[in-house]
Amino acid sequence: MTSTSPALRIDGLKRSFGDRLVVDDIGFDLHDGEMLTLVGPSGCGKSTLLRLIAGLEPIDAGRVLLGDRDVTTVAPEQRHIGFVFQESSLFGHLRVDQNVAFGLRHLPRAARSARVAEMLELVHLGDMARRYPHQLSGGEQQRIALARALAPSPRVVLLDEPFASLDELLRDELRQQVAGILRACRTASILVTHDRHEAMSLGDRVAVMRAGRLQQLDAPEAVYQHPANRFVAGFVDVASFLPDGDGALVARPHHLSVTSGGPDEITRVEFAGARYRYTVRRADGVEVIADGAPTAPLQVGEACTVHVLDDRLHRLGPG
Amino acid sequence: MLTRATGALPGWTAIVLIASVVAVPVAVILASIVDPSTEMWEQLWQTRLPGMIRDTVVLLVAVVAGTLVLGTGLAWLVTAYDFPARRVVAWLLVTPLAVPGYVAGFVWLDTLAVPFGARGVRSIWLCAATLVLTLYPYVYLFARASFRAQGGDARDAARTLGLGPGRTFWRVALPMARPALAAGAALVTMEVLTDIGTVRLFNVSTIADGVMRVWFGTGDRGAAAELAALLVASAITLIALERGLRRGARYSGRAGERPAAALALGPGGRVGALTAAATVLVLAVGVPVVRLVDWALAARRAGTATTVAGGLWHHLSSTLVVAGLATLTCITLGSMLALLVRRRGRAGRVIGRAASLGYAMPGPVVAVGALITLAAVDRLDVLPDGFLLVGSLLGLVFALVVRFMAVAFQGVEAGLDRVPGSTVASARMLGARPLRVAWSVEIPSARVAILAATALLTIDLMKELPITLLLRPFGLDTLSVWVWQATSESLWEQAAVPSLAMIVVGMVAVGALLVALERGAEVVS
Repeated sequence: MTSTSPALRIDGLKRSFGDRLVVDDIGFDLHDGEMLTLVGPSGCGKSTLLRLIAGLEPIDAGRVLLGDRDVTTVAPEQRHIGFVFQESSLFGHLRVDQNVAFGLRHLPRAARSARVAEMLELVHLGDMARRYPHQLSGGEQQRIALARALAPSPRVVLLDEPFASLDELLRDELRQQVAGILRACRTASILVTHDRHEAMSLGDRVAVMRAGRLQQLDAPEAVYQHPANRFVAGFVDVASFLPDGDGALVARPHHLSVTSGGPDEITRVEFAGARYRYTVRRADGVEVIADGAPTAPLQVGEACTVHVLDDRLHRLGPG
Repeated sequence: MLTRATGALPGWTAIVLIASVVAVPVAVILASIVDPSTEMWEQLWQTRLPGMIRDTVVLLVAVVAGTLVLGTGLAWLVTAYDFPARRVVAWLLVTPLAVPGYVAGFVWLDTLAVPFGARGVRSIWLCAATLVLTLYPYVYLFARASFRAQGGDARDAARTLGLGPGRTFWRVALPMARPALAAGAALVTMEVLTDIGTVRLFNVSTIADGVMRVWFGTGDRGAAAELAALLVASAITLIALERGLRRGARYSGRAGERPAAALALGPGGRVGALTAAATVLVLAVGVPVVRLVDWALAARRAGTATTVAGGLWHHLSSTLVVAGLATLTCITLGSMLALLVRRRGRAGRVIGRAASLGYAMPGPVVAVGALITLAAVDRLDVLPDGFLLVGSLLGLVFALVVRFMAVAFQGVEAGLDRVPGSTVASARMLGARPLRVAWSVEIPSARVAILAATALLTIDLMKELPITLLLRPFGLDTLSVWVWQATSESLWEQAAVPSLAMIVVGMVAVGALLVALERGAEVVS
């Protein structure tokens, strides 16, 4: 293992089910200690991509490299990649500590139990060791699943929508915990999610997928401010597209404002706490979404004018 | 739990009535332990009892181990691997269920008499082998359902944690299937403890055989009941032991989980898989059917294909009448009980379990318990025209229902469990009264479960021997009785026609069972 090679490199990965291309020519590098979030609408192939990397799904074309080692045709059990599933995949017939020890068969007994204790401490569930999985809450189960995946010290951990089955309050808390644990371990990770906020807030870099293709891979700020296309712009947050020659300018709601009277018309008003969010049909027929002050709201059907507050909006080319 | 419904459905009274009718004969047997007839007991203990216990234990261990290995192995083969005709093979492997153990028994007894000699062939090991070949489908059905339901995530997780496919089977798939395997093994245990036909053929004296011999030899009901109680105690102990060892562990996968992918076999593996399945099928079904057809033709030529009671039609219709009435009663009472119990939460479930006790009783035990109960009612002399229950069709059906109603109850209950509470609640909110909810929502939702239960009941009732032998009305000779009578005189040719008829009826039932399973019915115990 050299320090120059990335923790994981995938290159030209392809996979089809029947004649449907589910993963279409995807490649990127993942660096040590980095967390990459993989986001896209459901059915875009993000989970399949994860399973291809893990070796749980056969690869039609392309390569997977772990460090310098080509593992494209290597069985999943010999890849040493950690995997956390969408819902608890803990072994119900084993206790929590036995679950965490599952991937540590190569260690002598004493080292194994020390490592299990260490991992349980890491996920703050040291006192749950003797319980069975069904005696834990959903969030606790997922933390144990993470501890189990991290116990053999893999260089890469893959997480397939690990928070999807939890309720929202729990999800927020667990999200921060998991990110903290992964950073503490300096383990490279790919986290699949369909939740754009999760992707943007957790990822060192964000990969946006659609219909099997990688749309953009960049830092969250870059994806937000300089989206590669309309899909990415609209997927990562609410966006309006203002015609600009043969292209379009991407305007977020806070880039726009609305005043009473004028050629445009309010079609929808949404109360959002600190502000109102207006949907406006402009005189030229373009629909835009703009934020307004929390006082004296405009009404649906009212005449208005949309102003662009920022003169450095990101410009998308034609298409 | 939904509300205590208003009106329409009869409540606790009906539950208690149905449950107690079924539970009385069992209680009679258990009561016999309280007042043992020490003389008879001492005599038995000094003579035959130790041998009976030894034979029962050896046979039980051998058959349970054999069915576990064969049933689990075949189930894993057809769920984890992909090879040509996998689906068809998976179905065919259930068909040995249609061959009663004592039928396979006398075929193999005669076939193996050549290499083993007339004495050597009557061994406990060959008896066990025959039972394994006819009983493994119980384990197979449960194991296959469990492997299919396990889903892919746990196995995938094991792979990412460094386990190869083989070790994944031993460390994840097999332990997760444990409750299913235990359920299958429990059914096999009951069948072995109940069996009197096969063991008699191979001269193995088990406790069940002892109950029949004491009954017919001495007519001592007390002693027979005490022996029977011994049998019950061992059955309950075994089941409790397994449950206890499981402690807090849970085994099931999640609903709607990604199914585990089957591994495609190479050319060598395909040949191996098909050879293994074909060997089992030839031994369990092929050889018996070929030899039976041969014997049946010989019997026709010799004019011995009838009995004093009548020909094939007489015996077949007797079987159909007895099995049909008993099945109908079991399904009706079982469904009613399942529906009622469901509306009454925990206490209801406890009563449901109590009503299922008869199924944990070996046949000879239930027969003795039912006989004592029926005779007691007869002595009261309350029935019109001096009608006696003992020796009547009604009495026989009663005893069969005591023994087998749990099959219907548990099957329908499992089917009803899959009707979400919200569905029932919606029906109630739309104004349907409980009876209408039962009839138009719950029963239709459980119909594949009812079909599966009917099929299993038909198979069980068709081959049933001890209860039928002890309680049948004079002149009502079912196919199984015909086989029993012919084989106890080693008249294989004469036993061939009824045996074939039973296999045909059994195959129809197995077909219905497969249809039900394909439509999502679960196997339960």
